Amino acid sequence: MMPREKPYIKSNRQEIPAFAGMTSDAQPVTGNRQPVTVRVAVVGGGPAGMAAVGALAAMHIGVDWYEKEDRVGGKLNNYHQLFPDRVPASEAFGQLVKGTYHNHIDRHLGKAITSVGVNAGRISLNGKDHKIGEADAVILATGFDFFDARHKEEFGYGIYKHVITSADLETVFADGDKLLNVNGSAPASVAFVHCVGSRDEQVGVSYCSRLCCITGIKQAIQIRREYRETRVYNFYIDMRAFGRGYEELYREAQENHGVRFIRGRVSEASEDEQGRIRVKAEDTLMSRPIKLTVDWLVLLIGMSPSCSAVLSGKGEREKSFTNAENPLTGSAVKGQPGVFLAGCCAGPMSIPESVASGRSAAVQAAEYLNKKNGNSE
Amino acid sequence: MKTKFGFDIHDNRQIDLDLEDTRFADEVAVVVKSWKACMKCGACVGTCPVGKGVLNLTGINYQPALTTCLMCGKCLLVCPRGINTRHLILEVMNKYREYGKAV
Amino acid sequence: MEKLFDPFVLLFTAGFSVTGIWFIYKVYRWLAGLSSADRSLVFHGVFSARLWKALIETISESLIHRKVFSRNPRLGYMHMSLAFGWFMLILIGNIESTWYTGDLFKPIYVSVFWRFFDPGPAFPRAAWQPGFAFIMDLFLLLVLSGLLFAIVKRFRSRLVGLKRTTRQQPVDRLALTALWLIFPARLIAESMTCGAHGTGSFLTGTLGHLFSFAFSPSPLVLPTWWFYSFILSSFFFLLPFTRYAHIPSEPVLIFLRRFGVRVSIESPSFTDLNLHACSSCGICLDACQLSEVMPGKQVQSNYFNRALRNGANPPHQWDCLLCGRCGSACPVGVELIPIRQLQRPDTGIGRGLQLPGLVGKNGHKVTILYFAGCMTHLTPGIISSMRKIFDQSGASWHFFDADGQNCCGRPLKLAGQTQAASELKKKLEQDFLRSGAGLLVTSCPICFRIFNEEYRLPGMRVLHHSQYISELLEWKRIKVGPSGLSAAYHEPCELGRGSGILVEPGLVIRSLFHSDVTPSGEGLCCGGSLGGVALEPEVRKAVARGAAEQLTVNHPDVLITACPLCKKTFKPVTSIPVQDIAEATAHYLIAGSSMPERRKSTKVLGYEINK
Repeated sequence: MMPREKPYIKSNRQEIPAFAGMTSDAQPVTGNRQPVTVRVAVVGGGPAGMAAVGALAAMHIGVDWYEKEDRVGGKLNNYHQLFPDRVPASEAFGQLVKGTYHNHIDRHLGKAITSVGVNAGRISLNGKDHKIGEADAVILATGFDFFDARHKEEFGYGIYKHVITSADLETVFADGDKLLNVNGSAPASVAFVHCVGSRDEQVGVSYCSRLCCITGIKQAIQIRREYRETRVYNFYIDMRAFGRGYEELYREAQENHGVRFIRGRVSEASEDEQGRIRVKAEDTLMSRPIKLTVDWLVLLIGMSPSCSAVLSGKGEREKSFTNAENPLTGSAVKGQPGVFLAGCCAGPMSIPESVASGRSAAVQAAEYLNKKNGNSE
Repeated sequence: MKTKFGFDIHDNRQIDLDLEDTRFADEVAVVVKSWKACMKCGACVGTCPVGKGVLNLTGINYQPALTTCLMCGKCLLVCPRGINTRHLILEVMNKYREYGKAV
Repeated sequence: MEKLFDPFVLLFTAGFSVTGIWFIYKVYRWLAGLSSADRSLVFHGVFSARLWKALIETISESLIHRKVFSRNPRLGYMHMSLAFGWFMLILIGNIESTWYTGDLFKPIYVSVFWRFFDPGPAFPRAAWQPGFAFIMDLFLLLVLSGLLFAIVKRFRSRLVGLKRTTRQQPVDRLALTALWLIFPARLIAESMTCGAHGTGSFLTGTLGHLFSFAFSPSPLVLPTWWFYSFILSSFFFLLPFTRYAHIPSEPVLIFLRRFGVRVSIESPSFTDLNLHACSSCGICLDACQLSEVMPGKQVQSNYFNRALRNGANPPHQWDCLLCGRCGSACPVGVELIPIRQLQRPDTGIGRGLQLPGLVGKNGHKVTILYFAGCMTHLTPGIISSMRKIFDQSGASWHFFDADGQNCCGRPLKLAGQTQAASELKKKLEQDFLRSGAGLLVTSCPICFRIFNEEYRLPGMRVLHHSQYISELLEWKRIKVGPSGLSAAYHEPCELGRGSGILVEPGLVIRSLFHSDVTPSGEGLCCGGSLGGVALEPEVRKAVARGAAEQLTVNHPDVLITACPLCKKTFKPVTSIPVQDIAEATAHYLIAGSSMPERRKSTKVLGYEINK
């Protein structure tokens, strides 16, 4: 995401202790220091990574945990509340991070792994120009990147002040900032654009990011709760509210919060003289073109893959998520024995899915190591 | 002013798929293969400078609105399914001209 | 030398008559099919200096092939040696025969077969002495060397600097074989005669001498001349029906073009002349970017022309991007793009338009009208940059198509909908003029081209924003700081090649970046062109990828273009940032560089309000 000047009022964000992550010794370290013979590397400190290291340590497997930032938590650190229950992100973080304070886990913060190499059963983990570590198995939990909304120039992100992304809006909420209109008062209207960087051949993305719909619903409700008078519109192609409680939240947005859902893709946005955003779309259910002026346009950005680069070693982003060898039944990577995928690097996932995927990868890595050691003995 | 009470019978707007005639659409699809990928998101209509909704992809057929198309190609650039909308319009018009009427 | 006749000449005479009669008929048709306006152009042209210019061009292009030479010396040599060599053989043969017979009005075959009637000076004494025989041998050698190139080209086109060569149709192949055989047949026939008589110069004499060592040439003299006459005759029989029709047609095209005739719907015969003048040389094949991405598909202009000439439906009519690269590469100057445009049928799209009048409504007068263009509404970065530039320069300006509900008409025209385009043009002309502005600035090269070429806007200058920015910089109305970066420039087809706007974008880019950018008018097409209607998005992407690779071969920091459509097309296919020239300017604009005291004056930037 590009650094942006914040158009909204100044932050009252406090540093929440749990967010300090691994650098603080806020939690007691658990687990006996038993000699461990095999080590698994986990790359990535987000929900999937946290779940994976916790599960590995609980199985008495030594873990080297790599995170490119100087604290763990990944994107969870920037979220405010999580759908569908609007649980604070810090609470989910607290639950996940608890399992990672363990004697078997060595944390390597600020270490970016850019490629992995499989060689005679050992896997090397490499940084940009040097080797960082070695392991018997690797779990890649590198997560996703937010789609760079500047690639959809017609929405004016980075050009118009009042066009922001869902990720920006989440930081607004998390920081306790306010969304004000050009006159400094509560916004009269806000529109959400679904499928920005998802399901769009124009930017080479053919897949559905799955979670933007529910993010849009959740954020629309948040806006309506904060500003009772604000009209909120969601422009969608197809509403995909598939998860636990998602459909209920969709209904709640309509019924209790008066959020307007319009079936039609926004095709372009322009700025009027006052700096408000003019939106053009079609109400496809009415078969009529729409124009609408809003105080804020929120782009529900999709998820872009970030770990294909690690696997291919090319160091450049590829346009597709990494596929497991048998995506229906496991997360082992084809042609790279001992490498497993966890979380969003295998495709867009919600937090519970990422956590499940991280634990599953941990079990698969353990099975792999058992089998390997059994064979070698 | 005329006041009406009760129900008024309008043209039947029901689509009878049993009687659907897709010959015209199928012929167009031979030339512009991509149009079948339409997911009816409406981006093309939203961006259209004519503001009338030239394209109505719900059923490919000749529509009078097509004669107002500017051929500017904006719809081509916003279509999330990458449909060659400009060619589609031209082809519908070509076919229509060929037959003298919509099938 | 008493009897200047032998039955074998009849073969040649018959063939040559076919070509001759066909040509006379065609010239009549070409002239008769011109519109009366074009006919009067021709009439006036004949009595003007243009006639001499046309004559000079005919010599330099039809014979010397100067344009081909400048593009590709090996290919130029091939064309020159065949055309110029053959022409000189005919000319000098004629002079020689006239010299000895003293008869200017003898039958044509006399000079063609002169060596048969007069074997020339004695060999070996006269072999290297300058004289008719010597000069004739010299030019025959020139032609034969060109023939060698032609054969190499057919089988290994890369050796003569062509990646691809035209795929021939059967009748062309037959004529080609005849053409290839003409000169070896002539060499053998002449050498046989010289061998029999002990005469000839360095080429025919030497070969004849060698023949006479091996066998007695005398009985073979007549059969070889019969063969030569047969080959010539076959070639001339075939000429009207093959690409070799360009040999007589090309000079006619040059003359009419010099007189000012252009391809238009009113003069259909001129299109026919253009088609006949196309030699199918295949230079357009390498110029066409679709050759790379649609291999084996006959999209290019030589195939298009051939199909039209044969009365067939031109292949891939709607695939062509109309980028114009073939047109500017064509050594004959065939108007390839106008011909293609005329072939796109008007289906009635756009005729139902009723556009609201936009400027006249509020009636306020401004100095500068800004017309962003449809596409620019999808690249708002360009619009906001232009806002910044206008405001900085202190101009009074009006955003004409702020609501994005206007179109210049060129997309309709490119799609063959000429009538709707001209109606739209009339409407917009009125709106523009009603605004009273003295300057129309547009961000879209597609709009710029039609405004510039076809709109009648008296008292109103039309500028593309790259030109406008360049003027602002020149007059120091805005100041830009150097970026310290390197840039590559992608010339939009409609701006560079299409409208000849080359200097100004170069000036602007050089003042921003440290790259020595000099637009040449030979830029690549980005693949997004509205000319291409049927091309599927993947093919467009492939064109874009190829162009982006070539443009960024030196790894510039930024790829600059001057067209919203090019920008949109390039963005997804390259990792190098793509910026419009206006965005780059706005980005490095130094604030406060305008002169506010002049802001109130109606005379801003020399463009006065048009009363």
